[in-house]
Amino acid sequence: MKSCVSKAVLGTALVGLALLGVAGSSQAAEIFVISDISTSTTWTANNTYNLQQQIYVLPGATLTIEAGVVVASTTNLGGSLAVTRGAQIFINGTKDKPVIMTSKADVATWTPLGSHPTGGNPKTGAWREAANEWGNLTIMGRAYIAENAIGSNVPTCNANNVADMEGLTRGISTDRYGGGNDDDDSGSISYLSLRYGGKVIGLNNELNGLSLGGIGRETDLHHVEIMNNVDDGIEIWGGTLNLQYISIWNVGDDSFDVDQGWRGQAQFGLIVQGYSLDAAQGSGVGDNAIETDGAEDSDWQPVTTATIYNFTVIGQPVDGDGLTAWRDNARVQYRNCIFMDCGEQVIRFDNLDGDGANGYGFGGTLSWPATWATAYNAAPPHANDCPPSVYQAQSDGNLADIRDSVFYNNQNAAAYTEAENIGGSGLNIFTASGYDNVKEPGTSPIVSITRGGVVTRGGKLMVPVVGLNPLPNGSGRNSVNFAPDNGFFRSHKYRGAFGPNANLWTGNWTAATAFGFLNSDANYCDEGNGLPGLNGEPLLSGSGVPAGGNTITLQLRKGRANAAATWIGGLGRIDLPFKDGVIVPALTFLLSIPLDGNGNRDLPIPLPASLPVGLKVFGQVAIVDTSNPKSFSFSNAISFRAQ
Amino acid sequence: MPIARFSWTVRLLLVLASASWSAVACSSDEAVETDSAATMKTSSSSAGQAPASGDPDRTEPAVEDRLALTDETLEEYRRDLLTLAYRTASALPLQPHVKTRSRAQQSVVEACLELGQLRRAETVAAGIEHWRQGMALALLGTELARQGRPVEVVEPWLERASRNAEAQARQPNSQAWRRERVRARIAQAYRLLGEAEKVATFEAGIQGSESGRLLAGRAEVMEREQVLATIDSFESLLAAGDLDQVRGALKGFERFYGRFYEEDVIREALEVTIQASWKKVPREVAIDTLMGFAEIALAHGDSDRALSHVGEAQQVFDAAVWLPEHRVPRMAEMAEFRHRAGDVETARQGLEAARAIYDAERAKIVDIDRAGALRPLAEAYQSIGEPGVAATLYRRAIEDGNRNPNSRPRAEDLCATCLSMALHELEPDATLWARLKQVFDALAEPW
Repeated sequence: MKSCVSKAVLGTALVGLALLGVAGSSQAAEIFVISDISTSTTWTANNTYNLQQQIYVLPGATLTIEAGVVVASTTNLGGSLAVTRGAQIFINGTKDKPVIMTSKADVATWTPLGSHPTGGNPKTGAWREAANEWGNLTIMGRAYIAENAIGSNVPTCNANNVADMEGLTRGISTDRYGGGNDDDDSGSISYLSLRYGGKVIGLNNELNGLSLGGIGRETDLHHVEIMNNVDDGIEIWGGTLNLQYISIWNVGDDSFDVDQGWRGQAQFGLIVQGYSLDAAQGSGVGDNAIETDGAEDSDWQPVTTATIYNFTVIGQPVDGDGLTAWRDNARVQYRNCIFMDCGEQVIRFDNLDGDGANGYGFGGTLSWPATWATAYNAAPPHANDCPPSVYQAQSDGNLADIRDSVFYNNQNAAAYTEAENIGGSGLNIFTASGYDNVKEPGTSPIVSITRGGVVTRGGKLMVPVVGLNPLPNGSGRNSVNFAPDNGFFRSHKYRGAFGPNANLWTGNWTAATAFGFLNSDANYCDEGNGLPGLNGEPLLSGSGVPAGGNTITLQLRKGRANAAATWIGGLGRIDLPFKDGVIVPALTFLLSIPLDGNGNRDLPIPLPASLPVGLKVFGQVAIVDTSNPKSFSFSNAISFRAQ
Repeated sequence: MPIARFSWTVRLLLVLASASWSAVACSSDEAVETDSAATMKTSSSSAGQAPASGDPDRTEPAVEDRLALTDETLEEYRRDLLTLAYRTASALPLQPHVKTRSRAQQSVVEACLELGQLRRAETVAAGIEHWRQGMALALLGTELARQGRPVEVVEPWLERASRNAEAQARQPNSQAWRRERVRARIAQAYRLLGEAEKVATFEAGIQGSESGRLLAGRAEVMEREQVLATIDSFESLLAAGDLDQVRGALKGFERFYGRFYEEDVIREALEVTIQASWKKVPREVAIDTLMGFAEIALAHGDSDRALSHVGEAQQVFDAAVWLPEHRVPRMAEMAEFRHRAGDVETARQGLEAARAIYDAERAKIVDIDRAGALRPLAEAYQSIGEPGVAATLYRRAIEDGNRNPNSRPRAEDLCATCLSMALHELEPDATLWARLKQVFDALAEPW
């Protein structure tokens, strides 16, 4: 159901939506969302939406948000959005048209654009030291969780175990999450940018940018950004959600926080620690970059058991907290990551979460060092330690490990104390066989980072990141091992969130790009669909302004050395399955481009002066590669729109 | 072609209009029409949206493959209920509800297979979008294998299932577990066919949540000595394995229990061994396992042992606090079984208690969960020979499942209720039919 102006006035199904004003084009309206969504509703891009209080999507209802929608809520009012168990949300943002949820104060920084419903251009704006200007997005599902605060909950994994969502106050009919369906489906989210949030109405509490409680694996979530938030960036409680392409900047607590038995996988994450407000650490100033809790209590089930590939984690070099914090039996594997600029410990053994849980080893569970020494599928030595997870998101290695990652510019005297002697066990993740970690290489593992001047916020010395080119450099460009090729993880052979010479997946949809923090060419979009070859997925990127008369350059990396290859161009996309891969471009142009001895190729392309503005062009490279059973590998596809 | 000079002089080789490609890559929604299959076809008006076309992975099965599929004789009202369930599921709009729609359609496929409606199942599967088409085809192939059909009959369906799974896995931002779930089912079908090499191929790389399904599948054909070894190793699996593996092992134990029920050594070993898991798996899993054992004991005419298993399940049940939407179905399930096992009085008391709890707690159950609580109760009354009460409860399920202002949950409930009545042989009277159709006709925006 589309909620256009006339229907907003006439339709009985739009209870909760009131039309108060018109902004931008003649068709645009600012829709004030004033009550819960009990009937399924679509928010359309010709309007802007303003949350006026804590809004719930009630059980059975579906909220669909079209690409390009801006939800700009009244600054400091506390409007917020929560999706209850049994409700669904579909946020259908795209690379070109993300969905943005923010405050009016943010929109006020956007360059005027009369044709947009907000009156501003959502791809512009300026970073402000601010947060807490509206609420957040909270989603609640029915997957298994481990939480001991509800009296009827039991330590054994159970469909009746539920929890009350942090920061919600309505009551148990709307605020609870958890259940017994790990396949639960709360909807789909793509290309969503959440900015300047965290406010709770009438409660001395804070909200995370994105709160995910008991979310099941049938839920899809990728390309989500949190820019500035008073509390955590993303927090996950239990469930089996898998995530890809996550960007979290300048949040006021932990950037990525998990608890209560999350059993999922994540790949491609960019975390940049900083601050949102001049307030205490944890309420405006960044705390841990990644904080992982196992379960509440730590011998309850399920326990967090997760695998994370290809994260770039950039801390605060002076007064920041840890890059990875570990509590209450958490079992997490980090692979092919970059950890840098930490102001404290890169592995921080908190043990306890401070909420009354009892840490590693409680009730016969594995001790902290034993967790690092126990294979992901081995029998724990203690009878009470059962089972290590309800859903194993791990497929090799040990229950806790960090492998094939690079650590750089972590200058605190204690930065590596734990990493070089886990729990006093003697395990050193830099020297142990098979760990393949790189400690303090001579050159940065990313291309560049620019920090502003030192400021004091919340009593902490903060050095904000004001410019970043996160593409890998040096030891970031090549990992020892591939990420798995299992249909979720993309099989790359580099460290960190971005491939060598790649176009940033943060592209043209994030605040980080709009605010000018990211120094990379946003004219090109990564369309995915690579098929691994000898060196993992070959990487195709573009550079240069794609305007008529210009010469752009397409760069192919990580192909098979000296292989025959064909560049495929198209004026549309066809997504044609071929040799276990997918040819994305609509087969308009083919060009033979043999690769050099390193498996690379640069292809300058002079664009005709008559190139029509707005024309969208797709490109991809097919490579003869006998390491693949079908003798072909494919690069990712890229696209650009002529300017 | 020389590449010394890079310029805009690339060769124009192919310009394929998307329309012509669509014609080459045929849509799969053409069905071999039979009387029953024809009624399953969903009109565009009721479906809301036609299935997507132009997907090259959805190739048409050969006519001879379809001809191998037949529908067993089935009462007309049950066929009609299946049809209404399918039309209801297919009425869910693809956007944004493709996942919900596909799940509901898969449930129709499962019911069709249970009722011996193979051609009907295939017709439904052909209309499924998303990854669950592969799952439905794998289920069809598994059923054919279970029936002892030769590999040349079964394999085309498994190959289609595999193609679908691979195509879905190639989608950007795909989820590995979906592909693996289909592959685990395909492996199970090949195991039933005795195709060890294919089993290994499809099991390769299956990890995480789906690996437990392999354990259950292997139990179907495992040799006696392996069975004993597997039982012996359960304790270590329980300690080391994740719940999905433990659950898969417990499912496998049910199969062992049925296959080796007459062998005291194995039967007793299984009965003792499973108890070790009760503190380590969700209670619903423990109850499912015990009820599965009870069914097998009853099938062997051993009602005492069957009731003993139910008694154990009751203890597990009583030891926890249950939300009413979970409590009522479990009580109904155990009571229905007790009735079949001869404990009529306890069964009736249990069913009456479950009804009373539903009445007392109904307000605490979110409206979208009410019909799900009532259906097992209706099924139980139908099973004990009280179709009048069952019909009353089904009517109530229809009404209570029709409260939500949105069509999505109403459609899910209507589909499930129709399938429940078809599977449990509850023939709707004219009034109930009229109401079912009325509820169906009312499915519309907002979804």
